Amino acid sequence: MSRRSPLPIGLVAAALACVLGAVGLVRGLLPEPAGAAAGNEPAQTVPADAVRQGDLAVYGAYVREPASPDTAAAYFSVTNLGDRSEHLTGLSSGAATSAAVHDVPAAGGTASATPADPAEGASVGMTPSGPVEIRPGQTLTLSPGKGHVMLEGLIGPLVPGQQVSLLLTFEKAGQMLLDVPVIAIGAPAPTAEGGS
Amino acid sequence: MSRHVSAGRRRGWLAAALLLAAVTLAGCATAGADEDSAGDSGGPPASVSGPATKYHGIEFGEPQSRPSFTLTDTSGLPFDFAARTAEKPTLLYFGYTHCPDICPTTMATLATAIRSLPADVAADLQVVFVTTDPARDTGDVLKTYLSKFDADLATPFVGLTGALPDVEAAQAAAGVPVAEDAGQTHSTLVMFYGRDDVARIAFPAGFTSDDVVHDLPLAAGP
Repeated sequence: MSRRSPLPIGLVAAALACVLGAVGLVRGLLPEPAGAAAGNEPAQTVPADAVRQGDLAVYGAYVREPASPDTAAAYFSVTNLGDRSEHLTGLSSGAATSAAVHDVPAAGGTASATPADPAEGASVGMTPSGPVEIRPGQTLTLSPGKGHVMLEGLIGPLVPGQQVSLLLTFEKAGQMLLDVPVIAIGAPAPTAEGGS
Repeated sequence: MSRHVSAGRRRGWLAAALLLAAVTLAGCATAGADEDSAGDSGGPPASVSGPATKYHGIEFGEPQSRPSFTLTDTSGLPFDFAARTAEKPTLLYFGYTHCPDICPTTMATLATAIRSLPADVAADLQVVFVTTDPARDTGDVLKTYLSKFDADLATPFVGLTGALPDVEAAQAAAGVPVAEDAGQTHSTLVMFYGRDDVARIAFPAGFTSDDVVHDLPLAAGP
């Protein structure tokens, strides 16, 4: 057996990788210019089936079939097609007693590589986010490890094929009601990048 | 849910780790480096560990020994991790069943990978999920939870729970940061121990099933 120090260097380094990764992921949450993720696509291209309201287009929404009977996660993308900043200010769902966006940094809260408290940017837990800003021409994408809608207090089992209602409240565009499919645990996620 | 900025014990190792990483782990910052230019959440995860490694996961500078701890399995029986998994390729993860995002994503990714692994690698591969929230994650809860992932696999996942101090000791033995906030703030690393009872690699948050399929045959040991 190799010797085991209380804090093996390799492990610390690896754990840190995780930390750095988490910081990166958190930073990755900040809205990107629309189209940036899709390479050559012109800015402000959204899928044809996007739900549009005001200046916003929401697409790629899904709920992952939960393994827990109590909690689940939903994901979606929202693009701001207008020239004014928007904020996602609230959520609710008919499938759960509470819904909230987690693990998105607070407005302006870009995680730094050297935050005063590293734990602040390194969380892999559950940090409720405040209102999330989506600037003009930008897309906010929630995806595993990069922010999610926490559905807590599930009212019943969520099984693939079901549709779940998700009500998003935006500062300017108002409320958008989505019917969101439940995707099986092992199934690929519908892309939320505006591609296929 | 609670916030998990906590003081004290984690800060020390994080500070030390941050220093270390600056020199040793350029690759691990990939996720951070990528976001400026790509924002490509559909692409490969932050899995590049630099030019020196052949793995997609994170390679340890010094292989880590398979840890020793005894917890309780989903049948309520003692499970001596070191003895029961000895000489078996083993994926070890610490999480909790109410975790909606990282934990189920991790377990589903592992299950997907196992379905694609060569039969000789998958044959005795053991996945062990240790709860960081033993107050809620009883044996029955764990059993139901894991059955969502492993129902069609030849080797069922092992779910372990126990008294909180024992669960914390297991994390310490494995060398991962000990979870806080009722288990909600926890390590995202999936440790992989080979047949020779050492871990050469771990998979960080955001890994893919392709990463696992690529790495396990290489890191399974002699």
